[in-house]
Amino acid sequence: MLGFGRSKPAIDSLVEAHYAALYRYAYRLCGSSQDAEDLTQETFCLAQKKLFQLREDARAKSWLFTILRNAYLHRLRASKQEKQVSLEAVGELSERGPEPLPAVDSAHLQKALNELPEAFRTPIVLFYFEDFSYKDIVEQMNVPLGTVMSRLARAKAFLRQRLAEPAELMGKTNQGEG
Amino acid sequence: MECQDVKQLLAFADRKCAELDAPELDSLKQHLETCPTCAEAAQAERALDDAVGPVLRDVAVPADLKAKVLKRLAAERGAVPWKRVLAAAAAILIAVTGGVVWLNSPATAVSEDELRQFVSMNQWTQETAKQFLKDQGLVGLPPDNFEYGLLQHVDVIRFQGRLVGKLTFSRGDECTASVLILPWKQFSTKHLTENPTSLSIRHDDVNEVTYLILFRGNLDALRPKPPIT
Repeated sequence: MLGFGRSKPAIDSLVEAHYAALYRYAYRLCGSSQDAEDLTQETFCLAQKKLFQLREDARAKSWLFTILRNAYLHRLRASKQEKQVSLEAVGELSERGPEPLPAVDSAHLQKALNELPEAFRTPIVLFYFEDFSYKDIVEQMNVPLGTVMSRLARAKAFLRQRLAEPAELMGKTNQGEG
Repeated sequence: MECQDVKQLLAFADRKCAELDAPELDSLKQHLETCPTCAEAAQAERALDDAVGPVLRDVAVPADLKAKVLKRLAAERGAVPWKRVLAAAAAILIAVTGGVVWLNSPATAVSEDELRQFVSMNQWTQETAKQFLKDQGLVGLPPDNFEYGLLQHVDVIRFQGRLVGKLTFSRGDECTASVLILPWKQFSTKHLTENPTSLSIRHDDVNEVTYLILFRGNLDALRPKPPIT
């Protein structure tokens, strides 16, 4: 147990252990280094206030990731800036794409992630971080396992298609909701 | 094992955190050795994961981020807003003054009627809040479009040198809002702009007041619930 209240050592050790992973998660969610920094800081400030809610050390990472996602969603709703392809477009893609996949460029990948609706982007990012089981992803997103599996499959199909395209063509097709 | 089962299990295979138990993995392996279609699908899945996973995880973290976070946390722990300092100073002054008066005054017997009135005044409604502000000689009415069951405090505060009404609404962790009631004759707010995450501005043309709503969280959580039909 980490202890209750605004325990300095406890929150500092959480920062030490998780700030890098949280930043990477934030960056892949929002696609901007400045926003990712802000989100990471906001996450730890919220965690400091809510530290009494954390009962097990083992759940700390998952707990922090959940706080970060909620903070991100809050910003997203407030700014109403989310513009991605429609869910339908994600669903219409074939699960098999052109092979072999060309070497993936980080910026190219981020561009493709940015086009995904958050409900698809979050599970695929958590999935590729590898530290989270499906059960963890289900808990963080508060949706059934079948939904997570389905969104992952569709998100992977979308990435497979997008990453097979030259980077300069991205964003010129399949633009839907916005 | 059927191909459809394999399709489901493929998503769980090859994960760093063990998602399948040994018998399931054996069964999957056996099927892939004998079914070229599923083997091809597994290979494609693995190729995508191998291409995307490492790139997705490879994000450079700013060198000064940890120090920035720790500094901000320390600042928040030690932060003593000037308003809190002023409030504490005022409280001490009142306590000292009150103490002097109290030492020189006869004890007042607590009145049951006053006590009942005090209790009822803590259960605010739009009407009681309106009456309270009126009793304090303030212009302006409490705003509509708030759930008055969530009204925590009605205060009279000094704002930019003038006394104004302040209502505090709260719904747990979802939202807390302070509403300042500013009469047009005393305050101009035209230059202010709303902030979607912290400031909402409402003008009441009938009562000629502006409501400055400073909030944290989802303001909709404080709105009246529509009647159940």
